[in-house]
Amino acid sequence: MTAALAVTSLSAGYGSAPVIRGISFEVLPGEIVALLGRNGAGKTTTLLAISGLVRARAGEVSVGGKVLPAHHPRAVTRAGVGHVPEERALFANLSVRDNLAVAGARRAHDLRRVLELFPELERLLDRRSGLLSGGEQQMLALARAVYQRPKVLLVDEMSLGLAPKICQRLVGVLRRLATEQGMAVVLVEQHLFLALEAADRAYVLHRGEITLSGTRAELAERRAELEAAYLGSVTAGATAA
Amino acid sequence: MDFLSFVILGLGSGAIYAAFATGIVLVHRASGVIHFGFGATALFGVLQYADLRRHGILVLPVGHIDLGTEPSVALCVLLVLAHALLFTLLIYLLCFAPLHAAPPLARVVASVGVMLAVQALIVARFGSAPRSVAAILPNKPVTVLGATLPRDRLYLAAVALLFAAALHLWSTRTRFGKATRGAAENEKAAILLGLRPRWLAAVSWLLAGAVVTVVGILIAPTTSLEAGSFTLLIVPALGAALVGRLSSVAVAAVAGLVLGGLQSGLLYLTREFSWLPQNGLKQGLPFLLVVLMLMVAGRRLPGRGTAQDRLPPAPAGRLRPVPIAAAVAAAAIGLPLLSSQWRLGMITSGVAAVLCLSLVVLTGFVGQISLAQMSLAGVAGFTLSKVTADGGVPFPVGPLIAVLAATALGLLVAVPALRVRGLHLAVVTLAAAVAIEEFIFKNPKVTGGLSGSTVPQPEIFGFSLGIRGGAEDFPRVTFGYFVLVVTVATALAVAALRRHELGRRMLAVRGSERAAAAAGINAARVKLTGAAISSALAGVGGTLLAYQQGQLSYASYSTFTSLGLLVAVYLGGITSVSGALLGGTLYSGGLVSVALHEWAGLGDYETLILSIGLIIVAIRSPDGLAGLTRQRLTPRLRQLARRTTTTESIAVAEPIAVRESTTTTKEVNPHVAAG
Repeated sequence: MTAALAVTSLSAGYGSAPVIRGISFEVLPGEIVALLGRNGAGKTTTLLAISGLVRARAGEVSVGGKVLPAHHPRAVTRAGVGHVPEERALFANLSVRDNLAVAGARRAHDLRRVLELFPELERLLDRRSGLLSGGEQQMLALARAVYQRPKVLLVDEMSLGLAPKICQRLVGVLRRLATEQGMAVVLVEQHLFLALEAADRAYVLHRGEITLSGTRAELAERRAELEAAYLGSVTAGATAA
Repeated sequence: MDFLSFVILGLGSGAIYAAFATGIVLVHRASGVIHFGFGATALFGVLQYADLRRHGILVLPVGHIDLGTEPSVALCVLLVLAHALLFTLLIYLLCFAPLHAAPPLARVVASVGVMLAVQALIVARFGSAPRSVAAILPNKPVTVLGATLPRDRLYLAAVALLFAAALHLWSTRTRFGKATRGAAENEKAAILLGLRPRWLAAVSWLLAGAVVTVVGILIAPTTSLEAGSFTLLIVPALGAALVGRLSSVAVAAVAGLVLGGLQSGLLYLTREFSWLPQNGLKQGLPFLLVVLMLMVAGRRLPGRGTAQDRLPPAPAGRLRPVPIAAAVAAAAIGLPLLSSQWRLGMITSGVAAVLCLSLVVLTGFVGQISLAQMSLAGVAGFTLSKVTADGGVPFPVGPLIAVLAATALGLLVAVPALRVRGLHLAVVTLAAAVAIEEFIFKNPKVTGGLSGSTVPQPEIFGFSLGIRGGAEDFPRVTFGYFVLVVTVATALAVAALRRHELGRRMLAVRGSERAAAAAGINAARVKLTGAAISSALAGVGGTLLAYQQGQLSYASYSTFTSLGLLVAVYLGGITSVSGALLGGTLYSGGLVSVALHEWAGLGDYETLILSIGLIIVAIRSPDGLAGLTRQRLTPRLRQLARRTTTTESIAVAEPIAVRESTTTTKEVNPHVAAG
């Protein structure tokens, strides 16, 4: 099966400082893959480099087998990559309905499809998104990305500042998107247990390199190594898969 | 004519306010810029239309196209509109698109730069001769409820409202309009959704350019056209835009129309009731509106998550005795040796440097933007004239009273600044400048009307410090020394302020009012103190300018001179004393001005050249020419000096290195490693 997203030897950074160094991974359609790691490991930079917001210094990104042009966010979006950044990036002065409308010229049934996933948003359609609670904002951010019907969905720090109940609810939505719509999801998380619960597979980043990877079951068995990765004492190359 | 007729007459200017306010809201919402230059760009189009109709010549910023025949109204409008769209697009792409992430001050100065550049271009291309345009809209009077009303004003109001309604619908109902609003608010989010924020903003600029040009042309027959006719109409339009909270085109347009009607109604009232002030009421109304709107909407501390103004760093104010002494000595020796023209240029530079220092304190240290600094200087100047010429108060008591008057007014203007910041503060101070000019400076009782106000020459113990001696002795060297002493003293005082604890508190407030307040700094007190020091300096500058000119008129301290001062100091470097001194030379009539006249023969293009320079500096080097010197020239000079030292050191170190070991060179002479 062709990977929905394939990242090959990707390197990126800011100024003269390299942040990710030659990382490679794949996500199949209908699969949820988590990128794990401590602060500064390079998780967010990986997503930004995929989206073209940070210029890749080396390597390539392909979606559905097609290589994307480097540093061209619009082409990445057109190729079917949706990105929910860490800060949610909503248009705070626009209503919920307008936030969705800006995402794409879709028909009424598209709105219904999204509201079916996030029924909580229906009664908030005419409220300014800046006035929503954190959980509602995260729902809207996800809904807006889903509204564009992406093949690959990149979600950065979904659980940040949210109650566990909301996190569970959102994980359920991601699972539905993956299984029902065949969407490939890349989930960047610091919340280790939530990520392992949501993901089919996971990659652990340490100082810009993948140091550990495996399926959920494999990683659950190597919990000590996984925790060590978070504490920073894992050795490079300890790959389970 | 009754009150209603006056109000309807005012709908003409109301329509142009509405159109400008529509444009202001559109571009602000799309790109975060308050464009002060709409009046000037609209006027350029209107003058183009006037010349096209009359002579069949399309005057362009460079060159012209002679159509040979007298073209129809429709063709003229189309040609002028096409030019206006291109012009507006260029202004956006060249001046404002590069500033999309710049701090508000950079956007304000770029906006002022564009306004002054287009204004200078108008003078250069169209001259100052007034023009008139034949009626375009039907202007037969119509009688409503017994009152005879000009029909064209009603049409004008309808056109302005129609444009506003269409743009309101476009903005709120279409995906494109919503995307434009969204992209202006969060560029990253827009990019992630596959939108193109710059192009969305460009479309808003084009629409705004089209509206102001078309309404400008339609209103042209109702007003006399000359360079400067429309430029400052931007102030009431800003008031209207603020009523629409810079976000609602429809509200802003209605407010513009109402404001125009009310201003005209006020004229009727001043005619009917002689006890009302006969000057400045018309211009005072928008100022009051602006202040009220911003005071109501403003906050004592900025809200959580409010973006901080990232101003360039303010150098530490360290004194370098040798360069300072050398510069002062050069000026002191140069003054008697220079020709009268260059000496006058030097004196003007010194006076302007003091005025620039007032902006360094206010903007560079405290972070407050002021477009009314010359108004404060003017209050000092006219006070000086009153107390010395009329009151006979001697030097130096007269200037002291004048400086106190400027300080008092400065504090008064600073009160709104406690709740207003950034772009909004620029708007308040611009409105204040216009109101002071109209209300005080143009009042013949205060400023002596056409004959102006005289200022006796300063004298101390019978020794004249004045600028005028005999017929051959102008400007007197003594006055030059007087200005030099004051300039050096104020520059040293400002440098000392930067090093003082108060200076550090000011920079803390500039950096983050919330953080400063959290650290126990009383931000309001610091701001007021900064405003008082700044206005006192403006007062000192205004007093010197008054002594230099001897005969004052309102033009000496007009709103445009305030804008010119901002241009000069921003070009020089708004955060440093050296920037202010450099700014002094760049001010109109300063050394650069003399050089442009004398050496390059470009005196007529001075404002245009400086305005374009300002825009370039705003984009490329926010800390001005002084900052550029610090960043580029000083390191190179140091590098050069280090190389020279290194070469000399190697020559000295070699025997030691050879004697001990070649590898010890690094230890013996650290300069080698560093070089």
